[in-house]
Amino acid sequence: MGNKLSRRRVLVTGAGAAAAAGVGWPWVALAQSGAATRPLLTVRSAADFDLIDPAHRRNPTDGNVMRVVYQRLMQPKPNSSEVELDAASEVKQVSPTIIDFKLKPGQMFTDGFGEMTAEDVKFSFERIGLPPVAGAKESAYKGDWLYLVGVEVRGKYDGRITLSQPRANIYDVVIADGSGCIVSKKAVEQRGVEFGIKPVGSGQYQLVSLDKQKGAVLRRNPGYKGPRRGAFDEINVRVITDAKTADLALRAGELDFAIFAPAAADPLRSVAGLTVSDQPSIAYVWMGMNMEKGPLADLRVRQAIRLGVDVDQMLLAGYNGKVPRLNTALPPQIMGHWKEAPVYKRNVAEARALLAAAGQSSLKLRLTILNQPEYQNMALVAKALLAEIGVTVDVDAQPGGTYWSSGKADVGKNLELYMSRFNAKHDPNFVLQWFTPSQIGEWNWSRWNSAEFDGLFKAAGSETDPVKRRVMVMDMQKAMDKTSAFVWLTNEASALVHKSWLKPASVPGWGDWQYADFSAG
Amino acid sequence: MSVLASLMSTLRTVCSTLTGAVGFAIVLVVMVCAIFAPWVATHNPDALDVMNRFAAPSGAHWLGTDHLGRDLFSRMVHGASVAMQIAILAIGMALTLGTTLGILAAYLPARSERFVLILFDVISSFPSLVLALAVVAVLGPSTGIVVVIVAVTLVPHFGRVARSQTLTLKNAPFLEAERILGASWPRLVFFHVLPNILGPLVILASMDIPVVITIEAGLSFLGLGVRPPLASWGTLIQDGYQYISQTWLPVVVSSVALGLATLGFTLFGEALRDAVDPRIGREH
Amino acid sequence: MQADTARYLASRLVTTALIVFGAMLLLFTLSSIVPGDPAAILLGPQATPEYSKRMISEMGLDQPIHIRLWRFFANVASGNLGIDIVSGRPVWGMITAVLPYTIVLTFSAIFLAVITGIPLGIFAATHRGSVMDSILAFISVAFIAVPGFVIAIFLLLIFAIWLNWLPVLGTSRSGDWLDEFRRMILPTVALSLGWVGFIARLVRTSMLEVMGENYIRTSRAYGLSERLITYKYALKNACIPTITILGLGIGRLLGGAVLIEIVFARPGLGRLIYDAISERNYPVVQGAVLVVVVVFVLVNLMVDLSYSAIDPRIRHGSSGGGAA
Repeated sequence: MGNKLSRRRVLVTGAGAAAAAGVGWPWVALAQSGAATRPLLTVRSAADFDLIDPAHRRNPTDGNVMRVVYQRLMQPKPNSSEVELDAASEVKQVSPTIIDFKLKPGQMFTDGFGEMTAEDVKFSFERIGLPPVAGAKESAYKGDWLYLVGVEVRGKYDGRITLSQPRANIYDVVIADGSGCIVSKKAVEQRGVEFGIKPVGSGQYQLVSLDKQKGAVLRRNPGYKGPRRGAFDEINVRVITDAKTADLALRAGELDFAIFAPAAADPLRSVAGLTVSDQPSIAYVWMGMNMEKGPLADLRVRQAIRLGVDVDQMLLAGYNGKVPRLNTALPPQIMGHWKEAPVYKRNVAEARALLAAAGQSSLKLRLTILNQPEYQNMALVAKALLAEIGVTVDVDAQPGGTYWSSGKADVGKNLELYMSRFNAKHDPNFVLQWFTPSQIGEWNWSRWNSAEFDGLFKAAGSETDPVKRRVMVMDMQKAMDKTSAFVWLTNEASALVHKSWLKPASVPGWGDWQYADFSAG
Repeated sequence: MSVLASLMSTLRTVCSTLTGAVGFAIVLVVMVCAIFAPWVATHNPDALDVMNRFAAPSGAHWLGTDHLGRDLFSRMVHGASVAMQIAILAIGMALTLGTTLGILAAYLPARSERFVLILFDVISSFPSLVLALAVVAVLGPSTGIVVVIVAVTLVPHFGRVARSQTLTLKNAPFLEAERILGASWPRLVFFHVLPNILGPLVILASMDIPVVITIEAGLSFLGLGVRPPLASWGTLIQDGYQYISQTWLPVVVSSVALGLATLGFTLFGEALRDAVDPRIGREH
Repeated sequence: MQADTARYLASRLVTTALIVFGAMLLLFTLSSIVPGDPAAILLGPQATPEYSKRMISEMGLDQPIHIRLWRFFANVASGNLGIDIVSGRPVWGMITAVLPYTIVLTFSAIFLAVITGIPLGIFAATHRGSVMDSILAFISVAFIAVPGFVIAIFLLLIFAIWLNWLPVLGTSRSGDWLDEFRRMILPTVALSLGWVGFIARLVRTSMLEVMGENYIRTSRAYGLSERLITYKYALKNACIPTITILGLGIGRLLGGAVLIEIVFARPGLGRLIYDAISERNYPVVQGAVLVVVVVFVLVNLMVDLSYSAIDPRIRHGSSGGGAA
């Protein structure tokens, strides 16, 4: 990788260079003044980079860069979850299990790796979805291409994707998303392990450098000929793990864009030149109960706990009241969201009665959470509230390393109460997949074993008629509600904090940012 | 002189200097808060009042409330208690283990002595962060774990000093005399070696209290410290830092508490050592 | 004298090797009892059971400790610190990418601490009992007492936000030396303040000890000027514990500046270790800890060897192996 300090050329131009040269005292970071195309955008990423490779990417930080470095057959429209054509000039569903595509000619990979052909598409999809060949590593995203039989090359730009079973969400979650990114076959074969840090794609931007713990620098790809070109010549994604530091960097003008938890963004609302906008997210946060553990196996105990907590008060403590309440598994932006889900209000008397009926008037339970402030605060409030119905809660805050395994394998059998949060995508099956019986011992920490739910899940996965699918999805949510093992909390909200001249863009939910559509307004 | 009289005289020497006196005063205040926390504090430190979060200082809440509506003053006072518990336990453990190993090392044959020294160096060179993370991962964060981690980190410290003190003492004539008179080895160690080396060790220990408190603060900042809702100064600083834009009072208050306490113990410990060490005495 | 030194050196090198081995043994033992599934942490729900198992076997965690130790040291001997399972890149490359940042920060902090702390300590010792001495005492101890990250936070608030003199982020994105230097100021100050206080106290105490000793009294009887006495003898004596502490400090700071690195968003070895452990990325942990331990032990070896250059009264191989 080399020593960046000595060998890197000075990349910044214009205003940035003057500031870097330390002109004048005090050395104030010069703010960028208005123009439609700007040289530089600096954004914050809360997590560190790993690999910009669709098969081996790790987290949304990688994902956001990945989606501007590579093209896909289809991509979401700006600020929308609807999809439009990208690298393909045509995508046709020939039958429930066969999809034909035709690439646009003349789409060139960077670094002289030639034109994009159907071979590259075949290679890109199969290296994720099919068993790895010749010593290659298996991709963690294999599940995205579930039921893939193969991609057949029918011409220089023509190809056919064959599935063994129909997939209702193949466009939204796969083809137009991360696992549908098209890589250069020649480049992967040539660069091998280095490909993830020196990627070759045909997207709007090119990765110039990637430094762990520091960030990534993207430069406009001159060879990109598509319509959504990107308003910035250069994008600097800066890794800043501590929210406080990001806050200070925004105030000092060193960052143009960052996303915070809503409570953390409050003090920034009054800073001149910065705009704070609250956007709902598509995550799902809940307090769950292990249905197989001791007294929690009794439905009445679970119902009592659900009635013993006050979700609104917990949200006030955890998020300063700035997040919307969630009452079912699917966040509101997702198809099939159960709008009429019951909103449970705290009822101490009824909770006590239920516990007494179940013979558990003085229960002792352990609440396992990730040791982040939101969960700690919510857990402490839950502890105080549940104490009033006779349940003594011991809060067990674990660091990331141990928390994420606490519901799995044998350890998971001992889990009692827990709080969890998952990221969603715009597809109900994606959201609900973690609650099926096959996920017990994996991510189904409540250990909910329901054949009925499983059946509905599988059916909804292949059901291409949206009306029928919606009914199945609603039934799934109703079934979850009946168990009383999930106390839904929130789908969170993100507070976007950015310079007032910036117009950021993302698929709704602000999980998948669209760097190429960020513009200066 | 009786033990009590000599202690009083030492104390008087300590308080004769400005730094010593201030140090002693601070130590006294901290100890009172630590021991009598439930009486000194005005509220239950864990009592939540979410609707009343970030309240400004008032008659009801002398230092205001934190992000969950808990009384800051009470949490600070209880923080002293937690800090003292951890410090005394950890240092006590490290002192015992370290002294034992140190004395052992002084008396053992060269090979075994070398082994003990290498053990000390292994512990010293091992990044304490890794140790802390690993131990917390295995046993989960809690007060006990903090104590264990800190104790392990301090063992080489005490061990080396104990060893070098014992070595110096080993060849002292009075010990030789006792041995010739037939005193057994355990008797020698317990009644003659130990009392003489304990002095410097105890002073060292008192100066390590600030170190322990600071380590705990760092661990809490990383989320590896005591379990919520326990109020340790480290946790208070971390919580205050999170919400520093809402109100700077919690961070400042807990930092000042931490700073003052360590200041007090350090000054006291130094004055103690100055008073006891004949070389420094009153010479100029 | 030559053979003596050589023998001492050889024996110390053996001890050094044993210490490194012992530390790695401790690490490997810990890693085998620490729970946590690396795949689950790294990938979240994306990680299937097969993927988890594969990751564990690639990291070698399913092997017994002695085999893992053997493999590890065999690899190190051939210059290979392991491969990061997640990215497939060599661990050595990851370490060298962040090492420059850590080294520059560490040495700057120590340098700043030395040039500030020693004069303060001398001043305090020569003006013992005065008001200035007390004030310096308070300040020094305050620096030691307040944790580095708290100092960092306040420095940021005062100098980067309120006064707007210095930048927030501890490292720049381009290869601009001047910008890098500017951004290093606050982290260096935050890191070094604790050491400034410590060195000041240490120098003061050591000098006071020596100033009360016989040979200085004798020198005074012969009429040598106060200043000569102070600087030459007392300072030399103060050097030894100071160098010892610095030796310890360099080693510690390599892996221990995590909090400063987090607050200032700077890359560093400490953060690398911290992140790697949190993710149970064992190959990276092993490689990085080895580097930290080796540097720590070597630095201390050099410190020990330098004692004789400073104070001829210290013999090699004696029982003065520990500094208080």
